[in-house]
Amino acid sequence: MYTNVRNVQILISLLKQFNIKYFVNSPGTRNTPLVHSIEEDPFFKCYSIVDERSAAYFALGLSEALDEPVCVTCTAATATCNYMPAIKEAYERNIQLVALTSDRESYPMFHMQDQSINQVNMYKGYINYSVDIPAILNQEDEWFANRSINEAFLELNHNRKGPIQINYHVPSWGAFCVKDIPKERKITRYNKNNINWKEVKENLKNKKILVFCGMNYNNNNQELQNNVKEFYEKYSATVVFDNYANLKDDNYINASVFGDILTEKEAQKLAPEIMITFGKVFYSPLKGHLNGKKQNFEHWHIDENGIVIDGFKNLTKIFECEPKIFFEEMIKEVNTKNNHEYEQIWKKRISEIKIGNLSFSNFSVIRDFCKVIPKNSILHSSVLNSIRITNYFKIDESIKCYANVGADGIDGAFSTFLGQANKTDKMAFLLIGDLSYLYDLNACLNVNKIKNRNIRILIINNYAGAEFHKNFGLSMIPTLNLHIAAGHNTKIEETTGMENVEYLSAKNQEELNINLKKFIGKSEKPILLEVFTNADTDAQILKDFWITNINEKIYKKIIRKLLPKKYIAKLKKLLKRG
Amino acid sequence: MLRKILNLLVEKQIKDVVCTEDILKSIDGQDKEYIEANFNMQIFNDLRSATFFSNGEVNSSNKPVILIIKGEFLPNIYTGITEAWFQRSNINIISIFEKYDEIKVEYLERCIPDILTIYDDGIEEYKNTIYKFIDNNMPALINIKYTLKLEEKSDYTSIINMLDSIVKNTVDVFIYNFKNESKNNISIKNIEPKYKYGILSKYMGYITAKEKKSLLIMPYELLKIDLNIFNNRYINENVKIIIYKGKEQNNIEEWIKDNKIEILKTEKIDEKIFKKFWDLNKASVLIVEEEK
Repeated sequence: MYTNVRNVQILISLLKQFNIKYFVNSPGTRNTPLVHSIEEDPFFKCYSIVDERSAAYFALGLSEALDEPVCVTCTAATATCNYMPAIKEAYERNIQLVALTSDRESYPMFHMQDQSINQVNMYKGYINYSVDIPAILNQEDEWFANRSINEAFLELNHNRKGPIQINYHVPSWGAFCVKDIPKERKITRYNKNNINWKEVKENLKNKKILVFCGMNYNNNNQELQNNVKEFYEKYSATVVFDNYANLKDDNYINASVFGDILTEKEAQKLAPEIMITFGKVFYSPLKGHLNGKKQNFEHWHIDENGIVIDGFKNLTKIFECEPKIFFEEMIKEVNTKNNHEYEQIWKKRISEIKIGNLSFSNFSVIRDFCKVIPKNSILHSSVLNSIRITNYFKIDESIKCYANVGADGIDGAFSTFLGQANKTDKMAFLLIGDLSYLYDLNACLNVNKIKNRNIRILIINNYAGAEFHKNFGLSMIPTLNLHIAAGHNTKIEETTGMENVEYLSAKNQEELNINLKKFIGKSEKPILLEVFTNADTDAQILKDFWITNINEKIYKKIIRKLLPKKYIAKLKKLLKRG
Repeated sequence: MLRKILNLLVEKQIKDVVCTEDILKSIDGQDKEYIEANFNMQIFNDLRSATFFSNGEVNSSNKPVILIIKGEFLPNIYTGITEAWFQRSNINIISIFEKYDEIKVEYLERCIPDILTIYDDGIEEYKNTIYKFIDNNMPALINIKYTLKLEEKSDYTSIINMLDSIVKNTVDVFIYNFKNESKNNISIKNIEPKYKYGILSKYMGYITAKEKKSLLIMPYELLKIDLNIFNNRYINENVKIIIYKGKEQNNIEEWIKDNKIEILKTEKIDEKIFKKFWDLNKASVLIVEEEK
């Protein structure tokens, strides 16, 4: 019988799937749920050595002889410290030692809790990988435990063979009452040494595939573009992207807008059977709606460095190669054609999105700006509305898009933009909010050091952090602009004097129309166009846009539930709906 | 730099020093004499034991203890120094490295709050810090660079030849700090001095996996840091160990015999005794009185 301690069950299932069968056990209570479970399972081969230091060295000799990973297990506290000498040697000599260190609850550590030390990453400097697995209390814990253990095992021999540590918490030792433990999700990494492309293609046959393109700044994109296009044409694939994928086609879908309006039921309908991702960072808020476990799809990720990214909670395969190679292999000798059935579900939903007439706001300004950005430019958008709203509009495929969506900070957007502009002759546009601009004002002093003189800065100044007006609004927090949204009265025009930049401004649609033309036109010097809007209005317009684009049936259902009948009639009139 | 730190300790009237045998053999003779003349010195073979011992001394005397060790074996202090951290013991470790890039001690930061690495030869700018460490009732670590005497390699060619003449299939031979290459049926696995801890344990693990006879040749002093492994369930006729005892006085043989291992002794190894040892259908240890 196996233990009912859940994180230990996950560990055992994955040990078996990764074919790690050798154990050198030292006595203890904390590791008993693991040890008794495996000693009864004929898959595992167990040894017993009391002194953990000797046990780890014994395991080292075993592993060296077998050229296989060997686990060592012990109880909590200084028992785990005794592994250190062998871990160091294993690291230096590329031997696959697996230190399974059992641990107590972490909260009472150092507060009179017996036999308890900080075991998290305790072999730092001499370990390939180290994870800390909590006791499982909910689904998030379970996913985290599964993912982390997978990551750890994958690092036993990725790039270099060496030791790993899995520290797992066992607050109480449970019971041995489980006949069969469930088979856990395993993540497999494929590279040129173990990939069978034929098998991969078989797995994709007749499946609904969603190709999700993430950030890609590679200048040599053409081969990848062509390969993805052909893949799209040959498989039942839908391709979604955000602007920073820099991979566009009229048939692909920028589904970023879905992140703010999609319901759970719709997400289920749109979910694929296999999701394929590639790219450095994934901006699109769509990712918040897709969950591989709930919607029952597999996630495959392509990354040159073989990094594990389990954003959809059901990653099963990592392809350690360039994306262009993956798609090149997938299109070889394949004669099927995309029947577009799956894609139609996406396109139908996208076609239902209406923008309508917009009052003068950051939304309308960005709409107008996106319409006129000259081809073959570069565009950097700052966090957050600039990024969000530009992704609602079509940007010509010749325009290279950038944003600091790795960590979504408002710091450094201006500096980053100058760096990007400095390495190109193209016209360079920065779309930025007032707070982000003022934050990175030091960058202003470098504008004239940049070789590229075709710099254009469009600042949408609503005198505060508009995101907070969207999240809270003045009606909820009347003092919003005091600290949270950091309201200000700064005259941005005065900053342009620092570096000989031409200044334009607009506070209404008419002025914007005039100055936008100048802004995108030729100029001897960089131009800064400041557009003034109102933060609360901006927030309202954005929310109205979302509300009007939420699925009508669900919207109606919600309204009917919330409002009395007499108000529903009034609302119908207002919306002019039958 | 070691002498300069020792001078500071003398000035501070620190008396108790614990060190390992290997460090005393590796440092300059004059530094060794200086330590012997100015401190109450305790010598331990096993660094793990040395750390716990130091903790014990501090518990008892309430005075600082200095532990002088080879930096490459620092991992062996981990468990003892963690206990010392809990007990707020004033153990000050002088850890000697041959190269700066060997100094990787982040894992110790969680149990040694005061860590100093000295990169140059001047002591004055470090004096206050070192005194602070000594006055602080917590473990401390000072890493320094020092040119240590190299351990001489040994030559076991004669044993290799003897073995080669009697075996028909390939045999793995683990040798500590050996200078010769593999030959014929003999596959030599050289054990570098930096991996001297756990030699017996590693060997036992290896032959458990391989399930065939393998030879281990090692000096007696390394027995003293891996003794307890003889008490394991996996000892069988594949265990063949040759130990060069030299001038060692300890008598560990009884302990080895108690664990169902046959002991053979000889002043000098020859073909007759070697064959008897190798062909014995039992775990066997051949103790050679000759010094290597």
